[in-house]
Amino acid sequence: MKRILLVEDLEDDYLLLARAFSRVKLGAEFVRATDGLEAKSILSGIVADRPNKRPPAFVLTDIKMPNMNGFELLAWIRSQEYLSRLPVIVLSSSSSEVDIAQAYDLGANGYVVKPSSPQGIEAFARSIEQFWVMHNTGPTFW
Amino acid sequence: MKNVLLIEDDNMEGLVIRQALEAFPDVKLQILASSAEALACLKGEGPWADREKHPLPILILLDLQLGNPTGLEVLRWLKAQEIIRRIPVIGVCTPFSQEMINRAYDLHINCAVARRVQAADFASSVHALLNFWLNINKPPVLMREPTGVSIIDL
Repeated sequence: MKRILLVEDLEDDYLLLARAFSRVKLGAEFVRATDGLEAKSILSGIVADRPNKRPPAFVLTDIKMPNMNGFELLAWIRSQEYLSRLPVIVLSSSSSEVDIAQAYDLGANGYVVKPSSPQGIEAFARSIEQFWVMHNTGPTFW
Repeated sequence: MKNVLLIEDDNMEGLVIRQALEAFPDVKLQILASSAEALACLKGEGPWADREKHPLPILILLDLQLGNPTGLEVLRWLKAQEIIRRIPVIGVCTPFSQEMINRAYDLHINCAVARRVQAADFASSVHALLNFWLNINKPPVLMREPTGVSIIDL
């Protein structure tokens, strides 16, 4: 089963996503990190334990987080020999053009503005399930 | 109107994508069958010099199996450009080749779909892909200096 790394510091936002993924019967497990630093630690651990472990199918990350923000995490992932191919989708409450441009410039695979309505959250969760989990052909790492 | 560029020389794959796009009436699809033509379009050369008439796409679907230059060479060029590298590029890989897909991710492709078995599965992949990239994903800002305030600066 595919795994997703979800990097989100806000508990309420995390719970909304978790419930939405459950409703759409997400065909993947997700692992949560509460900030970029924790995500970096998780991914570093996976690399250190290769080939026994493999990276998640993709990362969903917020931008504004303590300790290590989403942009810093993205830049770090893209700098890593064994992780640079890892798809990263930014999921942020920011719709700022500066943030969107920066995300794509840093190598984000996609950028989604966090939906504010229950229908929007469900549509997002469904699209993640239907495309990124079921149909995207991701890279292999080792 | 959302402009989508399909760079594809296979009529069957192109047909599946065109049919899937019928569900997205706010999309204007441009199809180019050669990578040379696609590069000229993206560079704004020849008939594509008028950017008002031929605006840059918000999404590119690229056949990775194109030849001369190859789909990967087109991708490499695209992702080396200062602004248009932000345009999401979806790789279409038929037949499936994990090696080619890995090389595409090394060149910063945004995602990839591969036709592995059934045409119906490929059609489902394309529909799911288009729903995410056209309805959910935020398209890139294709200007040198975006306006607005970064949340990081707050």
